[in-house]
Amino acid sequence: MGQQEIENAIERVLNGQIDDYSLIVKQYQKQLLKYVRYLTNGKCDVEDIVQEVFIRIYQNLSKYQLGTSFSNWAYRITFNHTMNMLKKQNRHKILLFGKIPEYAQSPNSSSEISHEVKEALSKLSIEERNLIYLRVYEDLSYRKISQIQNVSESALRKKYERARKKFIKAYIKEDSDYENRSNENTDIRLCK
Amino acid sequence: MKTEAMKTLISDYVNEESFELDMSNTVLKRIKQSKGKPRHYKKHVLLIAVLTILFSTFTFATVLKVIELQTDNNPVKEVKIIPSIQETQNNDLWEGFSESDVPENLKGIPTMTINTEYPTHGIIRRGNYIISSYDELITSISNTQPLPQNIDEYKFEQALVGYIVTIPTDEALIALANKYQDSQFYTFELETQELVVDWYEYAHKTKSDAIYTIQPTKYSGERAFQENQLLEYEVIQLKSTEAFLIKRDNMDFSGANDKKSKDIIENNYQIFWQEKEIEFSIRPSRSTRIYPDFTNRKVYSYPEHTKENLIDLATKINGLDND
Repeated sequence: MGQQEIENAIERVLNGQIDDYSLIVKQYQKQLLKYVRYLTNGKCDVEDIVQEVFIRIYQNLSKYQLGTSFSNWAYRITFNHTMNMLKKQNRHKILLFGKIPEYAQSPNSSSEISHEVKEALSKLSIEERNLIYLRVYEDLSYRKISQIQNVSESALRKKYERARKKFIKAYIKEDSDYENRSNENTDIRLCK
Repeated sequence: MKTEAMKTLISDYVNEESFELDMSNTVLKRIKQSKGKPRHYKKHVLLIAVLTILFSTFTFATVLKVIELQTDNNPVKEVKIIPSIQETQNNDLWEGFSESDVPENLKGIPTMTINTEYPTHGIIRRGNYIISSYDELITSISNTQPLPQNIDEYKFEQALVGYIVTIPTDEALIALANKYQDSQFYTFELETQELVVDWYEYAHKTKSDAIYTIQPTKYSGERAFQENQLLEYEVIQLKSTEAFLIKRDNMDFSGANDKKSKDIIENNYQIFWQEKEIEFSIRPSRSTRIYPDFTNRKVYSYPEHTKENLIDLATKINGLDND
């Protein structure tokens, strides 16, 4: 679906054809699921969050400005909601003195590289993770990100650079740790 | 690590889990169960605005009612036309008029006082007014004269019979407002300073005579208006013994669509004023709310400022009184 079709669907929904909202959900659900899964780094139930996000998008549909990127607007809502969910979860964590459970992921999600990336990302704040996602994965310009985030471009550049360096540092450390662990395992196997 | 390598890592991580589920049905079901319709915030805002206006109108209507009750037995006896020298000097619109211009047929019946002590050439840039109760003078403040050294030098007693109180700076105005904040004086502010109009009220009653302040309005801001030199007299009749006038002078139409504004003014003055009324609405800076009642507003237009037109206007206004 192109931007025009999305906008047509939005107008129909606003005019009472609620069922057409499913078109919007279908169009963006995968994108947002991936986004939320990345942001939460496996710390929340992704589907629950995205469902809630779609309901919020629906409730605020009349605020959406036609002619602007729906995707960016959805990202913004998603990010805010996800951040709130993580904050809420952190409060629970403090109250329960416990560890946040890891949510089940598909079996093929535990590759070695994935594990290292995940660990490196866990060293970043959600804002930093978000920046890397929008800039590196979505390949958005600083200008667009600044519109989504509502911060100045220059501040965004600095933040991104810091986040990038932090990620690389964390990843390289994870990588070398992993290599060390692998070597240890190999040594043990050789000894046996 | 290069950006490309980082991109590959992140992409692999993001894409490693493929979400195949379709949550559209669940979302729709939840929406239908809970909300029904998207929120329409604009409607909410509109509703709040309407309620605010209604509340304000009601408040002022109450004030008017009280005034009406107080002055019902106080009919107009005489109204005079008295152009001042100052006015003549400052505004050639009034040149050549004197008290003797009051025609015989207007004497002895409720006539009109045109009090031209007010400097019509000055725009109230500060846009503030200090008003007393409606039984006293409502003083307009302009920035056309220097500020006296001592704020106590303001002659409010004189002002109560028609002198201008001049407040040239915001600081002076604030000082004055502070001085009277515990009395029955209220400070008003205009919403805008750019399209400010020389808005003042003058509903002073001396003894049993009512004084009407009538000021001509000349559109001098734009060439288009200068061509026509339309004069408007807007009189708001509040009660039998008082009339309020809104004077608009030196209006700045630079931000307006000239042709459209001109057409509106030429074809339908009432609509124009109604539109502008919103823009020039007065809001009190303090808790007490007193608003002029625009419901009985009358607008009279004349192609030029002549004695005959003034007399015609006077007759019409007096006609209002007789209603």
